[in-house]
Amino acid sequence: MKAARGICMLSCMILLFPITGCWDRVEIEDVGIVLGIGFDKPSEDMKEPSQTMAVQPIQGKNKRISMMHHFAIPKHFAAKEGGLALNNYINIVSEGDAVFDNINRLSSRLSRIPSYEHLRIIVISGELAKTFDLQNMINFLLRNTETRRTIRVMISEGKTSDIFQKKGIDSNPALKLRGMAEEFHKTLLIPPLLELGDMSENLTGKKSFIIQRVVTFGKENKLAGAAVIKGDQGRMIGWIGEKEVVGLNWLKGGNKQTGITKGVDPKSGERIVYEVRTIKSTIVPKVEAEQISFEVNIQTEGRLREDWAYPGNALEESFVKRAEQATEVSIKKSVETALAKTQKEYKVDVINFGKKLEIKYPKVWKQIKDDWDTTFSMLPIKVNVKVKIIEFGIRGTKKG
Amino acid sequence: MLVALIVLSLKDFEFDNIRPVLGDGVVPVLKGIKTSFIAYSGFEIMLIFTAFMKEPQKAVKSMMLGISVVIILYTLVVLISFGTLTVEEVKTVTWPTMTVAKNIELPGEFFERFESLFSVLWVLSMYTAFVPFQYVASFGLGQVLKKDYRIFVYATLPVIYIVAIYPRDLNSVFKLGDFIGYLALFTIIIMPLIFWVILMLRGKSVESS
Repeated sequence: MKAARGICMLSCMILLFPITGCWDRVEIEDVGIVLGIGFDKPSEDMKEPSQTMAVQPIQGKNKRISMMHHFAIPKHFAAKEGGLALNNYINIVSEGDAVFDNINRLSSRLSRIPSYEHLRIIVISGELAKTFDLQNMINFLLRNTETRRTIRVMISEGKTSDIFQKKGIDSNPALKLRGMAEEFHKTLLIPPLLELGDMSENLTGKKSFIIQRVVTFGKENKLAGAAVIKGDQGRMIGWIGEKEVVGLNWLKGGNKQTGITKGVDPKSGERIVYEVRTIKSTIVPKVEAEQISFEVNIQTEGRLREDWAYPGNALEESFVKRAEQATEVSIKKSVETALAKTQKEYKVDVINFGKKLEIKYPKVWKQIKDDWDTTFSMLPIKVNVKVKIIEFGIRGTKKG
Repeated sequence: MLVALIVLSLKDFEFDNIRPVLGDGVVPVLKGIKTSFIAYSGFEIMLIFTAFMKEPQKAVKSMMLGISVVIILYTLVVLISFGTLTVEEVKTVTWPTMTVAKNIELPGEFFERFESLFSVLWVLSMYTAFVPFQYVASFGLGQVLKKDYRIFVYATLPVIYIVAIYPRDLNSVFKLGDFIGYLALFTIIIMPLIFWVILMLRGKSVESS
């Protein structure tokens, strides 16, 4: 009995060895922290010396992708106000047949293991997004256990390695981009941020969507407009500008977005600036005798922030009414511009009207869902806007 | 733990994702019973523990209570997964609940990586779920072989370990899981039925003895 127990104990202890932890321990000095990743089309001027081209690329040249890793240099993060203008990052561009091929190739160029635990942002160049199915592009990142689904995604107009060099007032370009993505709360000019997870959800659901576009100019970069991704192809089909994005933001509503809208006072023809506090937009699908149509009701509350009309007396109710009307007209116009571009020109449903139809009329949806984008482009959409100015600041009028 | 998961995920939850409710009618829902059955297996342990209870009459009541808590939690987890990930996405990911946990992020990035906490506690709770089964297995072996059950507590360990490492790849792990689920179906429904029939046949002799 005693012996049996002893043997059992011993065997248990031996069995513990194969399951011990810490086997994948990596010292912090050996880790290369990746803060950002950029995807590009391979360019001719960047050539990584390979072993005399003995390895043939699996696919044609045009199928290869280039990747940019934005590594943080932790030491230089610490030296903040030392006066030394050292970059706290290094951008490494590679080229390969697939995403993981790119990463694998990095091993031949780095002394450290790339770690994606702290990945903040992914930027895909527009050129690449137009030719590749984005679902394959992000597939590696979604499979990887290190990467999070909350990483922000942007589309760049130029090369991503340029984007990742402008750090502005932040300490690091990748952190700047991450911060910029959040700014949609403060302006209507940029679309809501897109997380990697959301992107994947849209792509698997074959829904069209928009991604924030980042462009460089001079020493800066900025978010300007958006890239339109067609869901069933998983590719980018075009850009939209700031004007259209404003319209789409009005249509979408409910993103805790604020911003301003300029209107024109019908009486004096002068500018009126309205600051948005809340947007509530409801999309009502209607099916009457086989004809599908949508009605969008946009309700908004906000402040009157600036007016150029004289005397512009906001203490008078009639002026507030006029300002409300002016704003309504302007909102309606921007929504129509946005719809003209996305619905009529690109023929995509980026606001997800389809889901509303599916919820209310699942049977109708089943019949038309396969060719939804084309069907959608022909449907009438009615837009109603209701603006409520709830306050006008601490000065009501210019006339004494 | 699951409650924390649910609460923290509410931010990402989009009500539209779980609608339309019953868009295709009730039939597809009924079809789901078969696969979800496996998720609820494990309560067959009660068939044995009832024998040790002071008041076995109350077993049914407490079991119903336990199961209903589980049903509510599971349903909420499924709803949260659909609401945050959409139905299509849930189909594509290997571990949906884990993915939901990975999605959690509080503003300002001061709370991330909820999934590491989640998996630690998950392993702990798995352990408590596994211990009674091992006890019952050793106890049963001890009774059948007429030996002290304590020997079998150790003796079953290598067997469990070998079974656990037997699947060579991820898909065979899932297959094994499904198989165990169907085995549970056997132990929950068919085995008690057989015992009951045997008892009926021997009924009188048991009563008399």
